[in-house]
Amino acid sequence: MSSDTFLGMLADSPFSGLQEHMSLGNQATSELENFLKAISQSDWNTAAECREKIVKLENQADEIKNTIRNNLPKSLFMSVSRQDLLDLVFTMDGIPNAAKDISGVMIGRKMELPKEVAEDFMSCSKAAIKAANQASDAIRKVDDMQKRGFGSHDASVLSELVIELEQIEKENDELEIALRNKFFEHEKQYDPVEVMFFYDVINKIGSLADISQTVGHLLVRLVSK
Amino acid sequence: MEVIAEYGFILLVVGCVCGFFMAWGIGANDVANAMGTSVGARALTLAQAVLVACIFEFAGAYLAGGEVTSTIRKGIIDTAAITDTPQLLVYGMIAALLAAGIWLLIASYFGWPVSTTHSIVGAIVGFAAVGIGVDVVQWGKVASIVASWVVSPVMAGTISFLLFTSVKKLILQTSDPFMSAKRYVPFYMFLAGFVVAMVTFLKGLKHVGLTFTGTEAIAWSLVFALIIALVGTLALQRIDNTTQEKNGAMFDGVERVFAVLMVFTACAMAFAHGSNDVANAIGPLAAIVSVVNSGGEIASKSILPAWVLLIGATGIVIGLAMLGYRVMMTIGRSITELTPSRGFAAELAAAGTVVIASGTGLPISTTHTLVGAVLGVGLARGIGAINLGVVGKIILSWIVTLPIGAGLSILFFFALKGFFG
Repeated sequence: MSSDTFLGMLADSPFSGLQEHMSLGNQATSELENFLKAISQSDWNTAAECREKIVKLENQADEIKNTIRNNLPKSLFMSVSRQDLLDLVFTMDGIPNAAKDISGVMIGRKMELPKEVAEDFMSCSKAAIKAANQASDAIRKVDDMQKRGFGSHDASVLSELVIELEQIEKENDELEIALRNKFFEHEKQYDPVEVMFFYDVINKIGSLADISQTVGHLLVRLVSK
Repeated sequence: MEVIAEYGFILLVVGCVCGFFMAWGIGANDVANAMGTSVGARALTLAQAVLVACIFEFAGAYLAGGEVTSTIRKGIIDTAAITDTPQLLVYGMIAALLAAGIWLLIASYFGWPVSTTHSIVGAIVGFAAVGIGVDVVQWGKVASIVASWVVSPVMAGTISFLLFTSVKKLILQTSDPFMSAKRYVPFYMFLAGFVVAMVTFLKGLKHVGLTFTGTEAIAWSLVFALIIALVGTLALQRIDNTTQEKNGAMFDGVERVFAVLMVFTACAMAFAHGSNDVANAIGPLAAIVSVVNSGGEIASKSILPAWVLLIGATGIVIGLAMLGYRVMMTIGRSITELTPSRGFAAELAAAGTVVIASGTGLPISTTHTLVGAVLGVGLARGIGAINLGVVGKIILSWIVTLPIGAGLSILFFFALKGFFG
């Protein structure tokens, strides 16, 4: 007899994939933190290990991103807009990507942190990683919100999180400016190519915070349909 | 007339067997859809669902199944036009039962979701229009039935949308959802009890010899609903705000409160399904019985014998016990997104719609009403993702069922006519 009942109309929820992807991104950023710590101590073995883990995590995140995208046919009727969800997943994917890029440039060039700004660099990076963690926290909450059917209460919880996120991003911005200003005074004494790549890494770290902020804004859009 | 006198008993036995077969098919297949929501949401175990279905399908069929039965029996065909050839009505109804039953069996084998209501209505219209004459079909009534097939999912969807939106506002989106759930869930229980009781008191019980006026019916329904709400409130006392395992899924306190509510809506759903769908099997049988018992007279006013309802109700329960539980088992194993807070809204909306249709005598499809109700919850952003492809397939199977039911019944009609003369 039939096993095909009307309950077949209930498709797998895309939110579980979202959570999985978020958790991988979170792991990648905490590995990035370990990586940067190892770099600052010129511990190249640990740095290489961390880099390997980041690459692996980034690959897994890519796979999940593709699975989510491939399982979102237009015939799916969702509690959130399809476009918003896809935008969110692709933006979220920028977090492990950024971790991979930053660690890639630094390990590829065996980059030593300039002594004068090493501390500033670390605190600037920490702010960016904090922003990424905050974005992950917000995504984790979406699962609960889906269970509550999305409403005004969720929107206010989320907007508080996003305000915090914006503050962290601003903090990162300020630290970045301070870091650039300080390094500008010392850059002449370093090899120009090294300097160029160091600025590149600073840019990438700034973009990690930016992406995290965008994730927060996309979440608000997703929830307030 | 001679045909009825000569073969009356044989025709009656064949009719009973076919009616029972149809009821069995409904129990084996259709009941699983009605109960699937509760099992899928883990509010009931398989054994509990079968028990609830047996009791409330039977009660619904027996207490509130009369109106739809009389529509199927004498609402679609203008019996006044065939008083000279009553045997044609008997052949036709047997043919319709066979056609719908066989189509249901084929569709079930291939796993197509079909509606028993659509197949029986298609079959009756088919044999009447082609076998007897286009004029004997009461097209006005048929049109209102077909219209109800569009209206019922829309209505169920609207109700479930409103129900789930109210749940969001009153419970899920508050600062303490658990306390709000305990406070407001008894009102939903009251609602479920009231709708079922109202239809039963107003329309159902007159078939077992009890008549109520409108005010009496409202008063009794209020009393009944209050008792239900009270029992429910007592049951809620035992629920604490912890996450616990229930029937293989983890539920927090809020969902466990809704799971209690769902026991009530599951009963309402089984009752509603019994009240509407039993007629698909026993409506035609009732027509056969009344012609044969009156010796060939097509009496439009004869009382529906209780044993006919009993055949239908028993057939459903046996079908459910033999095969229906297996269908439910597969539902129980699949993980669905329909948590109790969603499932109850869909179930209550569908049960309310179906039971109102039963009271009005409109044969509607329980499954399609449920599909509409689930979509309503989805529109209220209650469900992660709904596969509209599957919904389309269900709607298509509903349209395809009509001509197939009609074609098969025309075939059987002429075969019977050729055989008995």
